[in-house]
Amino acid sequence: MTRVMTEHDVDTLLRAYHREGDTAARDQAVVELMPLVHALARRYSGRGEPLEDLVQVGMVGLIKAVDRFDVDRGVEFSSYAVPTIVGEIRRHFRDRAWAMHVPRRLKELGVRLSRILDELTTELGRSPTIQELAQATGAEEEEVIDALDSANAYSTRSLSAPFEDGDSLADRLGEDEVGYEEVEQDSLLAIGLEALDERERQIVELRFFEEMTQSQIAAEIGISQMHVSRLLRRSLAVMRGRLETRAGEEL
Amino acid sequence: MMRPKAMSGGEIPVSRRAAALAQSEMRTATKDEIVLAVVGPDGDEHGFDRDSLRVVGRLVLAGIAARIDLPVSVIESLQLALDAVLRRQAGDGIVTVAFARGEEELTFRVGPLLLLLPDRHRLERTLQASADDVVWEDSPRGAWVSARIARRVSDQTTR
Repeated sequence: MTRVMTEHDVDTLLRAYHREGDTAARDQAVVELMPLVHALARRYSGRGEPLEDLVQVGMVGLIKAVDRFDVDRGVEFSSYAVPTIVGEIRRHFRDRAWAMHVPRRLKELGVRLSRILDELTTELGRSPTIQELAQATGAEEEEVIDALDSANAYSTRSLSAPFEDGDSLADRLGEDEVGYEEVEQDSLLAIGLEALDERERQIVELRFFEEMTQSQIAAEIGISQMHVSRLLRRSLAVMRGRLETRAGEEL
Repeated sequence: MMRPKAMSGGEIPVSRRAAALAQSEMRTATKDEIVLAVVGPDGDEHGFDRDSLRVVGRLVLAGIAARIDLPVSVIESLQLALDAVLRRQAGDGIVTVAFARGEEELTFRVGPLLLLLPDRHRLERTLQASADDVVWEDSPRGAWVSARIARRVSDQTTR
């Protein structure tokens, strides 16, 4: 059975590396901490970037953390490593993923559309048409369609989209990992759902677990489809915020 | 990427069959119809590149829906419904999606799909939440499903 590394073990290896120049200890620390990178990378999978790429980027973050960690500061290594790894993964998305998959102007249009969609829905008392969105933003209809689709693909795939084997992110959250059991035991979805009230949680579960459409959910719980759409959008934003806060709290 | 797959017995390669199938789908096509036919790589149990087809299918659907002024919420529901259909296994290594636009309505037809009855019921429920009519046709190569969506004044307030 594989022995789980403790913070003390990691600390010992890092002291050997930083104080005595023991590069074997450095390499061992990196290897032992790989499960942490995998766990953190999985949190960001399903957003259009292959998990393998995220793990590689995360490994760069881990190596940076190992090399830059100050063993004399009296803080646990994981407190330093987690934000360093997450920062590297997020930088990867910022610098490459968005730029690669979504042109900058579409990304910016998507942000504007998100705001205008809400405003027009309130103003018109109904969901706007593509033409109305195009007029409101001054963009071509095709650009509006592209931007809406890009935004949807980015924001919702993290929870619902199937991987090649048919699993979704939610399916993979519970996978076992050697070591860092406390990291794995945190079901990200459960953490996100905790931030929602009962009705919001029900809507998210119906949408992503039962695969019901917004109209079906509306009929099920007796509110309008438009309201379901608004609640879903807000719920996903709240869940994302909670997960990011959680990652920050692990500092 | 998609690659042609040779059929057993020296028959017509699947790529040609896909073209023929698409052609047959288009025999009644008008300038307002778009037909997508995708052939999967050898050995792919799903029979076609689902991701590519889903992405293109979503965009085409939204483009046609925009022409008849369907509201965004309806378009999103239709995209989800089409997405659900295209996640199902193709019946013959080929899947065809045909979109047609009328004055006040659009129709998409997808197939052939390999579906067990419970899954078919589930898909039907999903489609019926967004479409006005859902029609199934069975063929030796699998099931075909058509969904028709009409634009109505009530679309502007109820969906």
